[in-house]
Amino acid sequence: MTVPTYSAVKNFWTAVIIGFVYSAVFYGGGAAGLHPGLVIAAVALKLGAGIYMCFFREWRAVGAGLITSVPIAVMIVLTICFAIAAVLS
Amino acid sequence: MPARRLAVWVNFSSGLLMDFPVYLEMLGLRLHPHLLAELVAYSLSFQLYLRVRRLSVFREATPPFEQMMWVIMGAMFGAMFGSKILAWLEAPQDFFAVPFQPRRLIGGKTIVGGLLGGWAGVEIAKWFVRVRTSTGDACVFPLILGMAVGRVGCFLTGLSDHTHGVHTRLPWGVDFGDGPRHPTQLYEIAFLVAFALGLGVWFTHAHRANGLLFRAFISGYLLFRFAVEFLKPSEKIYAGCSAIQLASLAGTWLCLWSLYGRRSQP
Repeated sequence: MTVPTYSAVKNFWTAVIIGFVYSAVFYGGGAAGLHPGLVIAAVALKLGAGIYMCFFREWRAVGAGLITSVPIAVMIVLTICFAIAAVLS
Repeated sequence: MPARRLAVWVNFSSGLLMDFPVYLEMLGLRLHPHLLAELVAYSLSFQLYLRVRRLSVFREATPPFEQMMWVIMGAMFGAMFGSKILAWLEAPQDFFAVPFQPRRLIGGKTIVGGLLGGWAGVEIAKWFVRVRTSTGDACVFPLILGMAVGRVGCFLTGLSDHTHGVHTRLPWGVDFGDGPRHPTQLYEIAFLVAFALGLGVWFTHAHRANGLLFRAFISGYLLFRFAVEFLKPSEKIYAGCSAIQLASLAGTWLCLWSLYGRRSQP
Protein backbone atom coordinates (compact mmCIF):
# COMPACT_ATOMS: atom_id res chain seq x y z
CA MET A 1 0.00 0.00 0.00
CA THR A 2 1.43 3.36 -0.99
CA VAL A 3 1.07 6.33 1.26
CA PRO A 4 -0.09 9.41 -0.67
CA THR A 5 2.56 12.11 -0.55
CA TYR A 6 1.75 15.77 -0.23
CA SER A 7 3.59 17.93 -2.75
CA ALA A 8 2.96 21.64 -2.37
CA VAL A 9 4.83 22.44 -5.58
CA LYS A 10 2.82 20.00 -7.69
CA ASN A 11 -0.50 20.96 -6.11
CA PHE A 12 0.16 24.67 -6.49
CA TRP A 13 1.12 24.62 -10.17
CA THR A 14 -1.62 22.12 -11.04
CA ALA A 15 -4.16 24.45 -9.45
CA VAL A 16 -2.70 27.42 -11.35
CA ILE A 17 -3.13 25.53 -14.64
CA ILE A 18 -6.66 24.39 -13.73
CA GLY A 19 -7.63 27.93 -12.76
CA PHE A 20 -6.14 29.31 -15.96
CA VAL A 21 -7.92 26.75 -18.15
CA TYR A 22 -11.18 27.50 -16.29
CA SER A 23 -10.82 31.18 -17.18
CA ALA A 24 -9.80 30.42 -20.75
CA VAL A 25 -12.85 28.18 -21.27
CA PHE A 26 -15.14 30.66 -19.54
CA TYR A 27 -14.01 33.76 -21.41
CA GLY A 28 -13.04 32.00 -24.63
CA GLY A 29 -16.39 30.23 -24.72
CA GLY A 30 -18.15 33.57 -24.74
CA ALA A 31 -19.98 33.02 -21.45
CA ALA A 32 -18.80 36.43 -20.25
CA GLY A 33 -20.65 38.02 -23.16
CA LEU A 34 -24.01 36.67 -21.98
CA HIS A 35 -24.16 38.92 -18.93
CA PRO A 36 -21.52 41.36 -17.53
CA GLY A 37 -22.14 40.02 -14.02
CA LEU A 38 -20.87 36.59 -15.07
CA VAL A 39 -17.33 38.00 -15.32
CA ILE A 40 -17.37 38.95 -11.65
CA ALA A 41 -19.17 35.73 -10.70
CA ALA A 42 -16.54 33.56 -12.37
CA VAL A 43 -13.66 35.34 -10.62
CA ALA A 44 -15.53 35.35 -7.29
CA LEU A 45 -16.18 31.61 -7.56
CA LYS A 46 -12.51 30.88 -8.18
CA LEU A 47 -11.35 33.24 -5.44
CA GLY A 48 -13.94 31.88 -2.99
CA ALA A 49 -12.93 28.28 -3.67
CA GLY A 50 -9.25 29.18 -3.32
CA ILE A 51 -9.70 31.06 -0.06
CA TYR A 52 -11.85 28.26 1.38
CA MET A 53 -9.19 25.65 0.52
CA CYS A 54 -6.52 27.74 2.24
CA PHE A 55 -8.14 26.95 5.60
CA PHE A 56 -7.13 23.27 5.26
CA ARG A 57 -3.42 22.51 5.47
CA GLU A 58 -3.36 19.77 2.83
CA TRP A 59 -5.40 21.86 0.39
CA ARG A 60 -3.58 25.12 1.07
CA ALA A 61 -1.28 24.87 -1.95
CA VAL A 62 -4.24 24.11 -4.23
CA GLY A 63 -6.11 27.11 -2.86
CA ALA A 64 -3.09 29.37 -3.25
CA GLY A 65 -2.69 28.13 -6.82
CA LEU A 66 -6.32 28.88 -7.66
CA ILE A 67 -6.02 32.39 -6.24
CA THR A 68 -2.74 32.96 -8.10
CA SER A 69 -4.38 31.92 -11.36
CA VAL A 70 -6.69 34.97 -11.16
CA PRO A 71 -4.07 37.63 -12.06
CA ILE A 72 -2.36 35.24 -14.50
CA ALA A 73 -5.66 34.70 -16.30
CA VAL A 74 -6.45 38.41 -16.24
CA MET A 75 -3.11 39.21 -17.87
CA ILE A 76 -3.00 36.38 -20.43
CA VAL A 77 -6.62 35.58 -21.26
CA LEU A 78 -7.63 39.20 -21.64
CA THR A 79 -4.63 39.78 -23.92
CA ILE A 80 -5.84 36.93 -26.12
CA CYS A 81 -9.40 38.30 -26.13
CA PHE A 82 -8.18 41.78 -27.10
CA ALA A 83 -5.99 40.38 -29.86
CA ILE A 84 -8.90 38.37 -31.25
CA ALA A 85 -11.12 41.44 -31.09
CA ALA A 86 -8.44 43.47 -32.89
CA VAL A 87 -8.19 40.87 -35.66
CA LEU A 88 -11.98 40.61 -36.05
CA SER A 89 -12.41 44.38 -36.19
CA MET B 1 11.65 6.25 -39.38
CA PRO B 2 12.57 9.70 -40.65
CA ALA B 3 11.80 12.53 -38.30
CA ARG B 4 8.69 14.40 -39.29
CA ARG B 5 9.20 18.04 -40.01
CA LEU B 6 6.61 20.62 -39.26
CA ALA B 7 6.86 23.42 -41.75
CA VAL B 8 5.86 26.73 -40.25
CA TRP B 9 5.61 29.55 -42.72
CA VAL B 10 5.96 33.02 -41.37
CA ASN B 11 5.07 35.65 -43.94
CA PHE B 12 5.97 39.22 -43.19
CA SER B 13 4.02 41.64 -45.33
CA SER B 14 6.85 42.57 -47.69
CA GLY B 15 10.39 42.14 -46.47
CA LEU B 16 11.75 45.21 -44.70
CA LEU B 17 8.91 47.39 -45.97
CA MET B 18 6.39 46.50 -43.30
CA ASP B 19 2.81 47.55 -42.88
CA PHE B 20 2.13 47.97 -39.17
CA PRO B 21 0.75 46.04 -37.38
CA VAL B 22 2.73 43.19 -38.90
CA TYR B 23 0.34 40.27 -38.65
CA LEU B 24 2.02 36.89 -38.64
CA GLU B 25 0.52 34.11 -40.71
CA MET B 26 1.27 30.73 -39.19
CA LEU B 27 -0.44 27.44 -40.02
CA GLY B 28 -3.24 29.30 -41.74
CA LEU B 29 -3.89 31.58 -38.79
CA ARG B 30 -3.46 35.35 -38.85
CA LEU B 31 -1.92 36.20 -35.50
CA HIS B 32 -1.60 39.59 -33.90
CA PRO B 33 2.11 40.24 -33.23
CA HIS B 34 1.57 41.50 -29.69
CA LEU B 35 -0.42 38.43 -28.71
CA LEU B 36 2.19 36.08 -30.11
CA ALA B 37 5.17 37.95 -28.64
CA GLU B 38 3.50 38.26 -25.24
CA LEU B 39 2.69 34.56 -25.04
CA VAL B 40 6.20 33.61 -26.22
CA ALA B 41 7.66 36.05 -23.67
CA TYR B 42 5.63 34.57 -20.78
CA SER B 43 6.54 31.00 -21.81
CA LEU B 44 10.25 31.60 -22.41
CA SER B 45 10.81 33.66 -19.29
CA PHE B 46 8.99 31.11 -17.11
CA GLN B 47 11.04 28.27 -18.60
CA LEU B 48 14.24 30.25 -18.02
CA TYR B 49 13.17 31.00 -14.43
CA LEU B 50 12.66 27.28 -13.75
CA ARG B 51 16.20 26.61 -14.97
CA VAL B 52 17.88 29.59 -13.34
CA ARG B 53 16.47 28.96 -9.88
CA ARG B 54 18.12 25.51 -9.85
CA LEU B 55 21.54 27.19 -9.87
CA SER B 56 23.11 26.80 -6.47
CA VAL B 57 23.70 30.52 -6.00
CA PHE B 58 19.95 31.19 -6.30
CA ARG B 59 18.77 27.97 -4.66
CA GLU B 60 20.43 28.89 -1.39
CA ALA B 61 18.30 32.04 -1.13
CA THR B 62 15.01 30.35 -1.99
CA PRO B 63 12.73 29.74 1.01
CA PRO B 64 10.60 26.55 1.29
CA PHE B 65 7.80 26.36 -1.27
CA GLU B 66 5.13 26.55 1.45
CA GLN B 67 6.33 30.15 1.91
CA MET B 68 7.39 30.77 -1.67
CA MET B 69 3.90 30.14 -3.08
CA TRP B 70 2.57 33.17 -1.18
CA VAL B 71 5.45 35.23 -2.54
CA ILE B 72 4.55 34.13 -6.09
CA MET B 73 0.93 35.07 -5.42
CA GLY B 74 1.99 38.49 -4.12
CA ALA B 75 4.13 39.03 -7.22
CA MET B 76 1.26 38.14 -9.57
CA PHE B 77 -1.34 40.32 -7.89
CA GLY B 78 1.13 43.18 -7.47
CA ALA B 79 2.17 42.99 -11.13
CA MET B 80 -1.45 42.96 -12.28
CA PHE B 81 -2.51 45.95 -10.19
CA GLY B 82 0.74 47.86 -10.74
CA SER B 83 0.71 47.48 -14.52
CA LYS B 84 -2.93 48.56 -14.71
CA ILE B 85 -2.82 51.48 -12.28
CA LEU B 86 0.24 53.03 -13.92
CA ALA B 87 -1.35 52.59 -17.38
CA TRP B 88 -4.43 54.46 -16.14
CA LEU B 89 -2.30 57.24 -14.65
CA GLU B 90 -0.17 57.48 -17.79
CA ALA B 91 -3.10 58.42 -20.00
CA PRO B 92 -6.08 59.17 -17.74
CA GLN B 93 -8.00 60.77 -20.60
CA ASP B 94 -7.99 57.43 -22.47
CA PHE B 95 -9.30 55.36 -19.59
CA PHE B 96 -11.56 57.76 -17.76
CA ALA B 97 -13.14 59.33 -20.83
CA VAL B 98 -16.66 60.71 -20.75
CA PRO B 99 -18.95 58.80 -21.03
CA PHE B 100 -17.20 56.40 -18.66
CA GLN B 101 -16.76 52.91 -20.08
CA PRO B 102 -15.62 50.28 -17.56
CA ARG B 103 -14.44 48.06 -20.42
CA ARG B 104 -11.70 50.62 -21.21
CA LEU B 105 -10.12 49.98 -17.81
CA ILE B 106 -9.24 46.42 -18.83
CA GLY B 107 -6.96 47.49 -21.69
CA GLY B 108 -3.40 48.81 -21.31
CA LYS B 109 -0.47 47.55 -19.25
CA THR B 110 2.92 49.04 -18.39
CA ILE B 111 6.14 47.15 -17.71
CA VAL B 112 7.32 49.71 -15.14
CA GLY B 113 4.05 49.39 -13.23
CA GLY B 114 4.25 45.60 -13.44
CA LEU B 115 7.80 45.56 -12.08
CA LEU B 116 7.16 47.98 -9.24
CA GLY B 117 3.77 46.46 -8.39
CA GLY B 118 5.23 42.95 -8.47
CA TRP B 119 8.09 44.03 -6.21
CA ALA B 120 5.66 45.65 -3.77
CA GLY B 121 3.46 42.51 -3.83
CA VAL B 122 6.47 40.31 -3.10
CA GLU B 123 7.59 42.47 -0.18
CA ILE B 124 4.09 42.48 1.33
CA ALA B 125 3.79 38.70 0.96
CA LYS B 126 7.26 38.19 2.44
CA TRP B 127 6.33 40.33 5.42
CA PHE B 128 3.22 38.21 6.01
CA VAL B 129 5.00 34.84 5.76
CA ARG B 130 8.15 36.15 7.51
CA VAL B 131 10.65 35.55 4.71
CA ARG B 132 13.83 37.50 5.35
CA THR B 133 15.97 36.54 2.33
CA SER B 134 15.84 38.27 -1.04
CA THR B 135 14.01 36.28 -3.70
CA GLY B 136 14.34 38.53 -6.75
CA ASP B 137 17.82 37.66 -8.02
CA ALA B 138 16.64 34.52 -9.82
CA CYS B 139 14.00 36.57 -11.67
CA VAL B 140 16.37 39.10 -13.24
CA PHE B 141 17.43 37.26 -16.40
CA PRO B 142 13.98 35.72 -17.05
CA LEU B 143 12.48 39.20 -16.72
CA ILE B 144 14.99 40.66 -19.17
CA LEU B 145 14.28 37.89 -21.68
CA GLY B 146 10.52 38.30 -21.36
CA MET B 147 10.67 42.08 -21.67
CA ALA B 148 12.92 41.97 -24.74
CA VAL B 149 10.69 39.43 -26.52
CA GLY B 150 7.58 41.37 -25.50
CA ARG B 151 9.04 44.55 -26.98
CA VAL B 152 9.37 42.79 -30.35
CA GLY B 153 5.58 42.47 -30.27
CA CYS B 154 5.25 46.16 -29.33
CA PHE B 155 7.44 47.12 -32.29
CA LEU B 156 5.54 44.94 -34.77
CA THR B 157 2.21 46.31 -33.50
CA GLY B 158 3.22 49.85 -34.41
CA LEU B 159 1.33 53.02 -33.56
CA SER B 160 -1.63 51.38 -31.83
CA ASP B 161 0.67 50.02 -29.09
CA HIS B 162 1.61 53.58 -27.98
CA THR B 163 5.24 52.55 -27.34
CA HIS B 164 6.75 54.33 -30.37
CA GLY B 165 8.91 57.44 -30.20
CA VAL B 166 8.50 60.97 -31.50
CA HIS B 167 9.21 61.92 -35.11
CA THR B 168 12.86 62.00 -36.13
CA ARG B 169 15.05 62.62 -39.19
CA LEU B 170 17.71 60.20 -38.01
CA PRO B 171 18.54 57.53 -40.61
CA TRP B 172 17.30 54.68 -38.41
CA GLY B 173 13.86 56.22 -37.91
CA VAL B 174 11.04 53.77 -38.60
CA ASP B 175 7.92 54.72 -40.52
CA PHE B 176 5.02 53.18 -38.61
CA GLY B 177 2.59 54.77 -41.09
CA ASP B 178 2.84 58.48 -40.32
CA GLY B 179 6.49 59.33 -41.03
CA PRO B 180 9.80 58.24 -39.45
CA ARG B 181 9.79 57.92 -35.67
CA HIS B 182 12.29 56.84 -33.02
CA PRO B 183 11.96 53.04 -32.72
CA THR B 184 12.02 53.22 -28.92
CA GLN B 185 10.99 49.58 -28.69
CA LEU B 186 14.20 48.60 -30.51
CA TYR B 187 16.23 50.95 -28.29
CA GLU B 188 14.82 49.11 -25.29
CA ILE B 189 15.64 45.69 -26.74
CA ALA B 190 19.22 46.83 -27.45
CA PHE B 191 19.52 48.23 -23.92
CA LEU B 192 18.15 45.05 -22.35
CA VAL B 193 20.56 42.81 -24.30
CA ALA B 194 23.57 44.99 -23.37
CA PHE B 195 22.34 45.30 -19.78
CA ALA B 196 21.90 41.53 -19.47
CA LEU B 197 25.45 40.95 -20.73
CA GLY B 198 26.81 43.56 -18.32
CA LEU B 199 24.89 42.18 -15.37
CA GLY B 200 25.92 38.64 -16.27
CA VAL B 201 29.62 39.52 -16.36
CA TRP B 202 29.36 41.56 -13.15
CA PHE B 203 27.36 38.86 -11.37
CA THR B 204 29.84 36.10 -12.18
CA HIS B 205 32.89 38.13 -11.13
CA ALA B 206 31.72 40.41 -8.36
CA HIS B 207 30.46 39.85 -4.86
CA ARG B 208 27.14 37.95 -4.97
CA ALA B 209 25.26 39.78 -2.29
CA ASN B 210 21.71 38.56 -1.78
CA GLY B 211 19.29 40.92 -3.53
CA LEU B 212 21.97 43.10 -5.10
CA LEU B 213 21.46 41.77 -8.63
CA PHE B 214 17.71 42.45 -8.54
CA ARG B 215 18.18 45.98 -7.26
CA ALA B 216 20.89 46.70 -9.83
CA PHE B 217 18.53 45.49 -12.57
CA ILE B 218 15.52 47.46 -11.34
CA SER B 219 17.44 50.72 -10.83
CA GLY B 220 19.26 50.40 -14.18
CA TYR B 221 16.11 49.62 -16.13
CA LEU B 222 14.09 52.36 -14.43
CA LEU B 223 16.79 54.95 -15.15
CA PHE B 224 16.76 53.87 -18.79
CA ARG B 225 12.97 54.18 -18.89
CA PHE B 226 13.10 57.62 -17.31
CA ALA B 227 15.46 58.76 -20.08
CA VAL B 228 13.79 57.05 -23.04
CA GLU B 229 10.35 58.35 -22.09
CA PHE B 230 11.55 61.80 -23.23
CA LEU B 231 11.68 60.35 -26.75
CA LYS B 232 8.04 59.22 -26.55
CA PRO B 233 5.02 61.36 -27.35
CA SER B 234 3.38 60.51 -24.03
CA GLU B 235 1.47 63.06 -21.99
CA LYS B 236 3.89 64.83 -19.63
CA ILE B 237 1.17 66.06 -17.32
CA TYR B 238 2.91 65.59 -13.97
CA ALA B 239 5.33 68.53 -13.55
CA GLY B 240 6.68 68.02 -17.06
CA CYS B 241 7.04 64.27 -16.61
CA SER B 242 4.85 61.29 -17.46
CA ALA B 243 3.48 58.95 -14.81
CA ILE B 244 5.96 56.29 -15.93
CA GLN B 245 8.86 58.71 -15.44
CA LEU B 246 7.74 59.63 -11.94
CA ALA B 247 7.26 55.96 -11.08
CA SER B 248 10.71 55.20 -12.52
CA LEU B 249 12.32 57.88 -10.37
CA ALA B 250 10.48 56.70 -7.28
CA GLY B 251 11.48 53.08 -7.97
CA THR B 252 15.13 54.02 -8.49
CA TRP B 253 15.15 55.98 -5.24
CA LEU B 254 13.62 53.00 -3.43
CA CYS B 255 16.30 50.69 -4.87
CA LEU B 256 19.14 52.97 -3.83
CA TRP B 257 17.60 53.50 -0.40
CA SER B 258 17.26 49.75 0.19
CA LEU B 259 20.82 49.20 -1.05
CA TYR B 260 22.07 51.85 1.37
CA GLY B 261 20.10 50.16 4.17
CA ARG B 262 21.77 46.85 3.36
CA ARG B 263 25.24 48.40 3.33
CA SER B 264 24.71 50.06 6.68
CA GLN B 265 23.67 46.77 8.31
CA PRO B 266 26.44 45.27 10.47
